[in-house]
Amino acid sequence: MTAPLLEIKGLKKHFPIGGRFNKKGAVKAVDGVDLAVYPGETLSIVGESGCGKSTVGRLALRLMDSTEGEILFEGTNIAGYSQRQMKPIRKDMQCVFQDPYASLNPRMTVGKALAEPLIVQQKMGAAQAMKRAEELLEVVGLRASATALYPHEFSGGQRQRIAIARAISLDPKLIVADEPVSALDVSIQAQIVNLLGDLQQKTNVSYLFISHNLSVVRHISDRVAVMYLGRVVETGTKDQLFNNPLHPYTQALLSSVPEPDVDGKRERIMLRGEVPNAANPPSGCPFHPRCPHAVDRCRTERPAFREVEPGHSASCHFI
Amino acid sequence: MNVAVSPNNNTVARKPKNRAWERFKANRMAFISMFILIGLVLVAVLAPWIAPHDPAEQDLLNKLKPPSADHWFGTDDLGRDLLTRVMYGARVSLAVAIFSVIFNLLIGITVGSLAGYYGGKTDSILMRFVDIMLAFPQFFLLITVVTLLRPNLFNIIVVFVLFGWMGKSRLLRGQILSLKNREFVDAARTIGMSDFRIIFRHILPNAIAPVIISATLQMGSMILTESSLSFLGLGIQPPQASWGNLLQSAQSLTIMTKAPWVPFIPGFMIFLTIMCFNFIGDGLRNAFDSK
Repeated sequence: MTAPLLEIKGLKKHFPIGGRFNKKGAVKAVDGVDLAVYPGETLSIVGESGCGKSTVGRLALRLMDSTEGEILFEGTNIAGYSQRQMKPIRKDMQCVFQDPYASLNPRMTVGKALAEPLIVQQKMGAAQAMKRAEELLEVVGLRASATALYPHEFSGGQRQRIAIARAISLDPKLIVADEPVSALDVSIQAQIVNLLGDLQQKTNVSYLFISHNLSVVRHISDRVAVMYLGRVVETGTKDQLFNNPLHPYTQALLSSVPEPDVDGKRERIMLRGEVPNAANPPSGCPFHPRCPHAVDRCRTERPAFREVEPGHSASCHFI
Repeated sequence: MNVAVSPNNNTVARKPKNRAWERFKANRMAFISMFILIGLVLVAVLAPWIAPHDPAEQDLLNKLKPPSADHWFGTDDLGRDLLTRVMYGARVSLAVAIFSVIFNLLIGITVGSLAGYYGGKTDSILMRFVDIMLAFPQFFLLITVVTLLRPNLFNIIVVFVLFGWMGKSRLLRGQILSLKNREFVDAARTIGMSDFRIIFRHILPNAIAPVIISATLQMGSMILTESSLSFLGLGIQPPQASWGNLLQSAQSLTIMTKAPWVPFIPGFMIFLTIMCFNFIGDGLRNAFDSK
């Protein structure tokens, strides 16, 4: 197998609670995550709200400092890099955010917004960068003349196309897509997902695709990682994970996806309770308070994350 | 899969700024105020060339004369032409307002940007310093410092700058705090822009409107403060004219009863100018506010 483009090892992010003088512990938003994204593939991170999946994306982009762990980009640990050291690496890792209404500067024309990365990173002249901006708009399916318009003159789907155009302007190797379609209408979601797929075929870019929408994930991913309470509980290829989910949490998650097949009788697994407080996670297996199969062992002993079949790992005592 | 950009493709893109200018123009009071102020500034700048008399030229035989063809605004208690002195006074009052507010803006924007964007220790230190500056009663501080320094135009501007920037830095800091975690700022960061470029290209254009409005309103209050200082005899010293010391020299009962235009005219000019600044401030607020 080829070397991973992005490899995350033991990544942790703890947000302290309370002030300097009365520390009250920490929210363990990300608590020991291992992931690898290979060139040209799409790795999806799925999980409920608050499980830390967006934080992983922001940590990988170095928009936030990690508490512990390594972030290897093309083999180099960038976890401790300063923003200045990050600059040459940034052209290879770009992002698309969730809210296309917030991710574009309202006081900058679309042309300027698209030209800016080229001017900053490639020292391109303004006129040349503007020409390239027009080409980029056409790549994502908008008119070249849109460079003169301001973001508020576009719809949500069009804005997300602009955000994608900005992300691909530097020919990155990795794009972190943080819920890129969850703010859009269902009909537009499909267009954007297809656009991302087309771009991947053309440029061989890798995606770290963060989402809670399992149907979209199933459509776009090569491999999937399921996160629960700041940890990865199961990883595998798309087929392994969707056809043979091992972890009880993954099983519950998948059973919640509505299926178009009316006759296909499935058992819907209902989870009891809520996601525990990440500041005070349960002992043993973090999933045990909600797990339908939990026994005493789960309450005391944390299950190891182990490989069950090649490429398919999960953390549960009963697999 | 080409998607049309907008139904009518030939609409010219209009900058948000242009739409703000149109809204400003629609506010008649603000628009008229702007022209009055431009007129006042022109008169002030051109005073040496257009003033009918010399501002210090005394004519004791013709003192306290009512307005006439030769002296449009009448004469004061030393027979000096009041129109000329009001014109020269405008130079002082407007210079104080404009220059002190410009330097206030420079300091306020710098401190506010640094505190808001970098947060943490930088923020704590700068904002505690602002708190300390704000803790002094402003006007008494002005009086003390002006009496220690020599009261002249330059020193008064310096003092106004030193003690006037805090509000702006607080205002801007608040704006930046709410903007710096927006996704477009994160997007700018992932491009690898310098902090300087992020602040100037992405954050300030979205944060500056309330600061500009407050600066406009502050110009009015600066004129008032300078007038108050001059009225107390701690501002611009006669024979140099300022609107404040024109009022001060007119505070005797004889002048107020026998020649009411002598205090009335500079008083009216102060009133008019402050009203103009306030109307413009209001107009700007409305123009920037509605999206």
